[in-house]
Amino acid sequence: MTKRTTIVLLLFPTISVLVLLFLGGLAMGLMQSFGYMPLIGMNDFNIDAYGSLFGDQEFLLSLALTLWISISSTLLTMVLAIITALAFRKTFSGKRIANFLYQFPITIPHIVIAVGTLLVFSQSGMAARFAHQAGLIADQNQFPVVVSDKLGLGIIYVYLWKQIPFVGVIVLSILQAMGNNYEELARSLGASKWQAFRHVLLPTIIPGILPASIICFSFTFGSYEVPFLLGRPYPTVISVLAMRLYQDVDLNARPQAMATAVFMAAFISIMVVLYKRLLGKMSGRR
Amino acid sequence: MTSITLRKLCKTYEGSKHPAVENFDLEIEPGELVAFLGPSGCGKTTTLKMIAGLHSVTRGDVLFNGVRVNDIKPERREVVMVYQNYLLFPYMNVAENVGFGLRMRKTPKDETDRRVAEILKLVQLEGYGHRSSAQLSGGQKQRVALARALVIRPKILLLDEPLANLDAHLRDEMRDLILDIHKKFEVTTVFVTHDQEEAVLLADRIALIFDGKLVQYSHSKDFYEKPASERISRFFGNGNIIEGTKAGTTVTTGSGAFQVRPGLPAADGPVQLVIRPESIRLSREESNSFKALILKKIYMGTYTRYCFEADGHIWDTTTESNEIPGYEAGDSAWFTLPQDKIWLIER
Repeated sequence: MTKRTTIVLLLFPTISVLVLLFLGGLAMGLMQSFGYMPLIGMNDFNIDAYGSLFGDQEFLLSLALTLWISISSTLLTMVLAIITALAFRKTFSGKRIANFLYQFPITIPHIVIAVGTLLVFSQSGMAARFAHQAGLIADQNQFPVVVSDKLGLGIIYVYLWKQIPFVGVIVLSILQAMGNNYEELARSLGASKWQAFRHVLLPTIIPGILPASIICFSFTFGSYEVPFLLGRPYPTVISVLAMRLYQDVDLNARPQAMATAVFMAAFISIMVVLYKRLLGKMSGRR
Repeated sequence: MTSITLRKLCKTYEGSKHPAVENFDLEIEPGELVAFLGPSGCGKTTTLKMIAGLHSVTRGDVLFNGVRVNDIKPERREVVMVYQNYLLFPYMNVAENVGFGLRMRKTPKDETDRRVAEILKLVQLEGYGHRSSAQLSGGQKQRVALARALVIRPKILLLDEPLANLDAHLRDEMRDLILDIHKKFEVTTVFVTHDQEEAVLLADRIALIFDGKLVQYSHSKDFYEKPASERISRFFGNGNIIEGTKAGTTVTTGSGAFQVRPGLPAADGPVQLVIRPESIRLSREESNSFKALILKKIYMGTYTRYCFEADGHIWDTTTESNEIPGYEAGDSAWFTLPQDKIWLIER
C-alpha cells in the first residue's frame, strides 16, 4: 500500500462524514433557500426567500437582538475573564476552592444552566419567592424581569456563566506562561499599573483570546436552546426564528427557514475570515 | 549620582517559612558598580527587585541618597532593571521597545525619536530601529534591552545576570559595553551574577550572598586573598584550606609549621590556613617550604596544575607552564607558601 493510499484511507471516515452530513446538508439547505424543492413542486431557483427575509421586520428585529446578545456577551466574557484571570494569578487564601467553583460551569451543559436560571430568576422562581417571603417585594410580579426580558439579560447571563471560565482558563494560562517579568520590567521603565496592563499585558493576551472570542461569538450567534428557554417569543433570536419557520406546517415557509439558516452560516463565516485577517495582522507585527 | 543603602533588609515570601533575604546591610557609593554574587536561589535577584521596588520589603529599609524609598512606587524610583532574557516586547519593533519608557513618561514624540536614535547609536545598533526583535541575535537583543533602560536616564541601573545567555565571545563584547556605559553615564549600577569571574572582571566591589545573607562585601581581590570563611574561599576556587593551630606568627599544620605575617586578624588557637593555588611556589628547600608527593600533573595550556600530598593533606598549585621544572606525577618536590600570601580563618 502506498503512503498516499494510507493517508486517503485514514482520512476517509472523517472526511466522508463531514462531506455527507455537513456539506450535503448545506447544499440541500442552500437549494431550498433558493426555492428549489421538487418534492412540493417548487422547481425554479429564485431569491424570493432572501428578498422576503430582509423585508421582514421580525427578521430584522431578530438579527438586531441576536447581534446584541452575541456581541455583548462576547465582550463581557472577554473583560470579565481577563479580570478574573488577573485575580487568580495572585495568591490568596481559599484560592483552590474559588478556582474549583470558577471552573465548575465548564462541565455543565448550557441547557441545565438555562433551566436553573429559569427556576431561580423568573418572576415565579425561587429568588422572587424568597424576596416576597422576606418582605423585600410586595408581590412576586415586582421582581425584576431578568428572564424572558426585552434585552435578553437572562440569555446573556447564561452565556457569561458558561463562557467566562472557558476564556478565563485560556487567559490564565497565557498569563502564567508570560510570568511577572514583563509587567515588572514595564513598571521599572516608568509605566503605572494601568499602563503596564494596557501596553504590556493586554497586547500579549489579546492574540491568545481572539480564537476563544470568535468561538464564543459564533456559538452565541447560532445557539438555540438557551434563547428558546429564556427568550421572548417576539422578537426572538435568529436560530429560534429559523427553527420556528422550519417547523411551520406550511412547507412554503421552508425556503425562508433555509435562507435564515444560510444567512447565519454566511455571517459567521465572514466573521471567522475577518478574525483570521486580524490575527494575521497581529502575528505580522511579531 | 545616587547612593544606595540597604538597612537590615529582609524579605519573606508569602507562604514561605524561610526568609529569602535576611538582615541585609549594604552601602553602595554613588556611581559605583557593584556585583551581587552567589549561587542560584540565594536571594540576589530578590534584593535587586526590592531596590527596584518591584518586590515589597518585609522588614528593613532601602535608602537612595539617605532617603527612605520603601513606599515609593517602582515607576517613580528612576531605577531601571535589565533582565537576563532581555524581555523585548515582541509586538514592538526595536525603536518602539527602546522608546517604551519615554512614551510612558509622555515625552514628546520628537524628543523620543531623537533620544532613541542617539542611544541606538551608542549601543552600535544605528539603523536597526524598524527591525522586529525576532530578527536580532542574542547580543543585539541585550543591547536593545540596555538601550531601553538607559534612554530614560535612570539614577540606578540594575542588571540581572546580563551576560548569562550570551556566547563566550559576546560576553567579552557585552562586558566592555557595560563598562563603557557605566563610565559614560556615571550611573550607580548593581548587577547580579553567579559567575565569580564575571563579578571580578566588572565590579568595583562584590557583595557575596549565601542563603539570603550577605557574607562578605569588599573589593574582588579580598575574596581571593582574605576570604571571611572556608565556604567563601571555596566559592572563589580555592581548595587549599588546611586545619592548623596559630601561636603568634606560627601556624602548625599536618604538613608543617609555617610563618605568617604579623597582624592577621585571627586570634591564637585553631585556625584554617588559606593560600591561593597560584601563590604556592614549586621551589627548593627554604623557609615556609615542605616536601610533598606530586599526585597529579594537569597541563592546562598557559598553566600547569599540580595536586600534591603531604601528611594526608592534599594541596593544589598552578604554575605558569613555561616556568616549571620537569616534575611529573610520583616525584617529590619542595613547595613554598610565601608568608605574605597566607591568610587565616578563625575556627
